[in-house]
Amino acid sequence: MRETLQLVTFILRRERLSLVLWVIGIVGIVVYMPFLYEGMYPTVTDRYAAMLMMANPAIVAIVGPSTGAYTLGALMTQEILLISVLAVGIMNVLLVNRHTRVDEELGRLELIRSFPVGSTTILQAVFAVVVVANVLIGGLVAVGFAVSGVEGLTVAGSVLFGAILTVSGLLFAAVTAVCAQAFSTAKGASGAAFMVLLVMYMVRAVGDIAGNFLSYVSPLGLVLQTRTFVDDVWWPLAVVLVQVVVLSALAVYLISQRDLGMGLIPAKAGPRGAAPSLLSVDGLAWRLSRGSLLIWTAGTFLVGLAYGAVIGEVETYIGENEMLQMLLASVGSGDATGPDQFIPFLIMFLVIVLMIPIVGPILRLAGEEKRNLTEHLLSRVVTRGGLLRSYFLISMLASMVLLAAGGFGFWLSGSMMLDDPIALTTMMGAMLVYLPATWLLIGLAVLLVGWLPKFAGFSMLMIGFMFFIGFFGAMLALPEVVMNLSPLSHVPAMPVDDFSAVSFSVMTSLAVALMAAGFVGYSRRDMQG
Amino acid sequence: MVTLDVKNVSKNFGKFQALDNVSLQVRQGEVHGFIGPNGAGKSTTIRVILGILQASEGSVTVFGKDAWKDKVEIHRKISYVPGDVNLWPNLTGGEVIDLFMKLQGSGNVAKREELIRRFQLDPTKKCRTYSKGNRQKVALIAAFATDAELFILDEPTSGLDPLMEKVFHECVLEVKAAGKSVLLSSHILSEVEKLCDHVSIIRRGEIIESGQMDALRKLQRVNVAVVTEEKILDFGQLDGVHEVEEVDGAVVFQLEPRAKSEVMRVLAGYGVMSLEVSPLPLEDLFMQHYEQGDGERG
Repeated sequence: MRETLQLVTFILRRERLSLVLWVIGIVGIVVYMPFLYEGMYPTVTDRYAAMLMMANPAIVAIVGPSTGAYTLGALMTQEILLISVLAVGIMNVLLVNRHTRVDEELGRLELIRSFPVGSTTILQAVFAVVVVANVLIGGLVAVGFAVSGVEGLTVAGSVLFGAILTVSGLLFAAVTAVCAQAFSTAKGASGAAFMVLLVMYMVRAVGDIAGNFLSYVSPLGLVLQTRTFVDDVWWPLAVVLVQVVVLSALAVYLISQRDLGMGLIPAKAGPRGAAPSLLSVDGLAWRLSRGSLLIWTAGTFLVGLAYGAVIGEVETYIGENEMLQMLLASVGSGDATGPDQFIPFLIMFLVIVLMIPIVGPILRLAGEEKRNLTEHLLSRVVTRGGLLRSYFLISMLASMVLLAAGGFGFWLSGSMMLDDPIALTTMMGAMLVYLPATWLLIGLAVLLVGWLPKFAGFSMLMIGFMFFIGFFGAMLALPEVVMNLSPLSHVPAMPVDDFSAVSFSVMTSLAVALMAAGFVGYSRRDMQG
Repeated sequence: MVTLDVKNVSKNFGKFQALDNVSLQVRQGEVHGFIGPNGAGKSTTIRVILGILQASEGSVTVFGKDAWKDKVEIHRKISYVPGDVNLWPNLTGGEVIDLFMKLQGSGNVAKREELIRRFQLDPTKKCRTYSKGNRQKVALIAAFATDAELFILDEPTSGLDPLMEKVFHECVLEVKAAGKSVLLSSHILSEVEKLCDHVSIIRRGEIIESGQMDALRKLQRVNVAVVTEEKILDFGQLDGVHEVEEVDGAVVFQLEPRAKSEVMRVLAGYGVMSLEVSPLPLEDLFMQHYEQGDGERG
């Protein structure tokens, strides 16, 4: 018992910063939500319209089922409960993995075990910390809601909402604890835990749309059946709590059955030699980037699908919401408030986010230089230009594939939802018209990597700047000079505005010039590291 | 034939001068030790040789070609092992070895397998799980499996255990026997002593000593251990005698070559029972340079 307490103190000491940040972050955002929704849906009419929109199957698939009630509490719960649960889940997966398999992989656990500390003691200490953290989150959220004074947030409902966060958090802690016994690498353990999280989410999505038993199979589906702030049903949460207990016991049993450093599932040996496709700098760059590019492409396609699914519903939604109208006015020139106007707004947001994976390969090259990895390549028969070109081409590929994936997803679901479907070419055009802007960013990154590698990260700041200008520029009435600094200000908001060959070609030429200058610099300068 | 010729190379990083007029030559078939404390400029010199950095002044020629302008051409015949081996965490050791061999251009599969066996590396593991020593093995296997003419090895044994160090020494001697050249940077002096014909010592960006291993040692003191019938008194007062100690009844001291005959004459008067003379280990030799240098600067 004394050892457990000592270990708990030790873990808390190691976690004092990151755990505090997680708790403050999650609690802060969640507790702020009632005030946000109060402002968003001030009248019963607003809430009724929102409820109807939220019953859309696409939205149900993403956030969970509608209760049919249109009180503030019911609407807010539907929109934020699942995502809050996911955030708490991610925190727990990382936290538990850090103190189980990560420590074991790095040999720290061996050190702790060399003291008179049993294998299960460590797990008990981790569980104790996890309980503290999750009860803290749940408790603070419950109190925050209950004292918010926002109409309809009952004490009973607030407590249930908080309890859901606590119990779900414990569930993912337990899942991770089991995965940490099953897999012998930290990456394997956290990967498996996140996979479980994803599968629970998907199973629940299917169940919620179809309204069948699958919603009850997945713990994530179960917690959405509590009808929080409507009827406050507790039994689904009790079922999840039983699952927590069973899984925790399983983890404790498993750890007592295995040797330190081992997993129940033996680590798979990797290839003994390289496949021919890896045996070049192009092959290497592709191999290093393909995983994240694939995930981003799939994610972008899904976001596109989600956009398309809601586009039919936005007309009413926008008509009622002044803040959104102001936001929309900042994109494009038209003052129509319909789906057409909303599309460029959604697209711009998506494009800004996609700038991150698009510029990623170039920043990866800069990072590898810092870690002395490029040295291995450049000390062999590899030219500077050839090296940069390999990563550059993947950036260019990413710009085209990602924008096209988003546009295609948008069109696919949008054409099913809208009475007057948008043509595929129109949709693709509205996405791909942003290509020169992404190339400009690639050009900037190449230029920096070519001449000022220490400032390569500046291209990420540029993304932040574009976001700021795109979303707040018009609202803050910033001077045109400042607005024009963002490449996105020069992209026509299709399909509302017309395609502009001038803007397209000017931006493309400028991007090419930046890239060329970057390549020249890269083959001349000293490597860092 | 001169394989590598570094001539009066200086390198500045902003105001900081990392290399000051560095010259060094590696002849064909020679193992050239490049020694100096950490931060002295060994890795910087090597990076200039590899064309990863450009010399601010001076010239580097490898196989008669310019190290900056013709770097890619030169690299066909160079194998390099960096001091701090980082690898891509997602690739297995075997994959990295194959990639390096392919990029260098002259890899030999049979040699690769033999080296993997000798260095006892598991090539199916992801580089993420490798220790420093194992990452070094990956780089060493990739280097020695090629048919390069010049091997540039930057502190390659700092993570290896003694058994693997021995394998590494064998590998160096094998490529030397095959008539190839090696530039071996190290601060482990016993290694340099064992493997090298030629040594250059670098300190604070300057070459402070360069020459044949033998010649370099001859210039220096020797270690003497002597047992006499009568007890030697005030021996430390003698000119050219340093670091006098009593070890198990013997008097042990360092002797400057110029004082040899004078000291022998004195010793004869005490009735010498046993006398052992041994070359100073490079460690001590190097400390001498280090102290002297500091004295001059201070």
